[in-house]
Amino acid sequence: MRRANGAKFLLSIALSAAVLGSFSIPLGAFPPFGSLVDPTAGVWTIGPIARHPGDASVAVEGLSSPVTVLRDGHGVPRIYASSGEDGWFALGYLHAQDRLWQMDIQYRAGAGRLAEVLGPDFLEADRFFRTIGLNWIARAAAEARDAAGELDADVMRAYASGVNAFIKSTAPADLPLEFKLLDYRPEPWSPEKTVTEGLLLAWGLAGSFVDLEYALLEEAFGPGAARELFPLYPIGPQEPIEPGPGIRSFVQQGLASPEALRDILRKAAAARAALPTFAGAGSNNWAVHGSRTASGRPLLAADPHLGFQLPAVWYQAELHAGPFDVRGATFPGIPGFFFGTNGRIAWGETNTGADVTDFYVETFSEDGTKALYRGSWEDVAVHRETIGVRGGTPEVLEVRETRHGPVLTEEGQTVAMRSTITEFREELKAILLVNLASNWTQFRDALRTWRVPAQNFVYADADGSGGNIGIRSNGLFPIRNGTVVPRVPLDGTSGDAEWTGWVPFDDYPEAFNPPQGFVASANQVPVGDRYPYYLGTFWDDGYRARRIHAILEADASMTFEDLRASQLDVVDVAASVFVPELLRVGVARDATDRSVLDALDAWDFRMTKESVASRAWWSFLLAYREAVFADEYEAAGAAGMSYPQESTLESMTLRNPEPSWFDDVRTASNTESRDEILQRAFEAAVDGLVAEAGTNVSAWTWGAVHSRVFDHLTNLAPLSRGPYPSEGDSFTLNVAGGLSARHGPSWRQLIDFSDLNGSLAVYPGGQSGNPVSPHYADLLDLHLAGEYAPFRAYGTAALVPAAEIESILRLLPG
Amino acid sequence: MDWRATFLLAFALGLVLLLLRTWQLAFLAGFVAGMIAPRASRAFLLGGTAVAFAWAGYLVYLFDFTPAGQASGLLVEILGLGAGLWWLPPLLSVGLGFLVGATGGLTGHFGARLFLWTEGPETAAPPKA
Repeated sequence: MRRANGAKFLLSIALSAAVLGSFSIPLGAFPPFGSLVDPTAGVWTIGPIARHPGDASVAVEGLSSPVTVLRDGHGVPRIYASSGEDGWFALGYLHAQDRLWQMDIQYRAGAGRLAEVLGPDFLEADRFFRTIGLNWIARAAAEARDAAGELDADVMRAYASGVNAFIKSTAPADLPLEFKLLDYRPEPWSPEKTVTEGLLLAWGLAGSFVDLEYALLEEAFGPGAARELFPLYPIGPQEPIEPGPGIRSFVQQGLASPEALRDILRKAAAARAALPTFAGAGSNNWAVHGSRTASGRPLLAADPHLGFQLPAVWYQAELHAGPFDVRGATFPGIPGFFFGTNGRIAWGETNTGADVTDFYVETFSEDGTKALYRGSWEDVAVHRETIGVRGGTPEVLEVRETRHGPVLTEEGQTVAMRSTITEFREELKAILLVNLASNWTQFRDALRTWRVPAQNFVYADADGSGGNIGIRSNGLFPIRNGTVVPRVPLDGTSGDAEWTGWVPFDDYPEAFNPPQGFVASANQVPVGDRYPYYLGTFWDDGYRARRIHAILEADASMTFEDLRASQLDVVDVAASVFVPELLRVGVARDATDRSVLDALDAWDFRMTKESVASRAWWSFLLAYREAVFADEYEAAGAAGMSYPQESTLESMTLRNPEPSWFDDVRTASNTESRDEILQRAFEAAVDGLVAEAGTNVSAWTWGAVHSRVFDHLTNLAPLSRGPYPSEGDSFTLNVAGGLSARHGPSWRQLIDFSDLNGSLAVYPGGQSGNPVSPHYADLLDLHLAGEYAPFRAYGTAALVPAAEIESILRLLPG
Repeated sequence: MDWRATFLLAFALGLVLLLLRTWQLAFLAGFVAGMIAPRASRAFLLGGTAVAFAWAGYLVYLFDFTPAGQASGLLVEILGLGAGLWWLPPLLSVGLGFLVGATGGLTGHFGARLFLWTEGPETAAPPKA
């Protein structure tokens, strides 16, 4: 009997172990089933924490005095602390409370540690980021800032303490959903992680491989034709920030093999796909002097264009702590307000898009330990990076580095990259000083330490009559020796194409209270074609800049409502250029063609959801580009590579209608003209629309094919939002490029210096990263409707009206 | 102890163990029920149902007063099923609770017989003086 019981006991133990064990271990990529459905720690625990308690007090280590946080009806926190350090501590706590997983995954992307938690599919992205070395740069920068002991180091330490206070106080069972689904826990935060996130932001905006794409095009078409397709200076009307004298003549050289270039481009694409935040980065900002506003006080608008993602790129907050009284947009993981106002000045940025990344073809010794430079062999540095892989064996990556930078490929040739990203150091200090600035002089001085990425900083204040406005393209711009135009990979051995210095700070493009009464940037070329320094050759088309200028030039008494309308404007300037040309030559084959031409003729060039002409225009544009370039690209073996910008096509169409590009090289016996190609494109567009949507032209609405999509960072559909039928296109101020727009205005702010608390802001998302929180995507609904939320500030907690307090959090020194 | 009392004891223990927020510990609730139950089949059933009911009770509260149902719906959608099947994860949770409690019950039952008494507690001889 006893023996029988013993056997049964062992059997029951084994059975229990099997049940407990099988539900406690992950199954491949799937987390342990038991942890997902655990009643008190499973996925549904995000339910009880979806709403912040109406009134809560939490004791935390690291605070010197109590901090009060009042969240409004959208979950936007107002932080009241007696010292700056306590205030930034609180922001760290709140960032972690609302966006911890986002912070973690963004840090991992920059540090090349995605595969550790997401698996081998992300190894390619990790290899890329480890190769360009954001992690080494971050480590060195964090150590340097810590040693310098300045404002940014103190703020980063306080911020990290706040993040860690939250992590420490949070049971694993209450972590965000993504940690549960991916079955891992957050690590402690540190200043190095903040710097890594800053570097990721900088790289996303400054890193560019367009030189490599151009080199491939040059290889296919030859230098002359390639330069026709991609001119050194944008053709057609431009609206630079600073027109001025410059240098015209440049010399090209191109050396890299296509295999090497394609290998780098493939790696870079994998890295971009891993984190979509910076896909299609661009932005708008402008400021209007009081002399041109109805109120007599300046107006300022800013909307950065980044990836549409959930959780959203930005986190709105308001901080009153020590010397800081500031509100606006913060980036989870980084303490600082990148957009906003402190009551005295307001600011915003657009990406300059300067050429700050060069590629060098190196010659290595046979054993690969040395690189040739000016006739001598120099040692090649080697870094060994161990990349963890979830469910697999860690990979050891050997990164070699020449005097120019990390080697990105050895396929066919050895190509290294030099980028200003290695100079990243005190950018947070710059932002913090901007947050504290009271006037243009202080604002400008604050930007001395802003190196990467180069941004067009817009400014406004209300001092004096009419206030002040300004704009400045600020960041490190390399000066290259000789007359090299670095649009293609350069010779790394001769020393004839090196960076010899930086454009002086005082020579950055700048405008302060210009006579025209406004300043504006939309990623257009910031300088005239005679600026004395080379800043780059690949810029935005300039259509958005032209539109902003047209609006601001036409309105000498702008109201706040006008400002709002301008930020949401959907007039397509490119359409206003091309459509008249089409109408001039377009011949209707039948009633359908006639209906389309009539719609285009009556059109006001506004890309609205309901507009038939909008859809027809877009279809025509795509068909026109194909009709002009596809034949030559195919013949040159360049099929699939980027077509020229529309500004170049505009110039060909309007000002140089007889170039060879209009001729279809596939028809040897015929020479097509521009007008024939316009007609051909029109017919192809209409035929395509009929095939797509039938012959009922009135049903061909833009909103039926054009949408905005907001993907979650995991790409899981249930956590994403959209598609939402949308207005706008690639060229409108209210931008939404492509048919499924996944990037656009990630933040919108409208500042009114005649009534600062009447200012408005909104972003497409919500404060909380918890998908069952009412604040996960509540601001998205406003954004989609073209609406805004109040952007008010109250100097003390006592002044905040009860109607604007949804929850109170008191952080107490523990 | 009759089966109702055993059930209530294990149910209460199952609820209390939820406070520790580690689902594997529910095994102990079933184990205790199993130690008391006179037969293996009863140990299995009492242990399983007590834990299942404890978990179900807690989940009903959670789903009634928080957006836990929404989270459950998200999970089924992420798994590729329709959001209408939001009730499936909590059902699976209760099922898991039953399994954990039931195997705990079996283990408790045979363990008690091996180490504490050779017959059921109702018929076990009193310990010798």
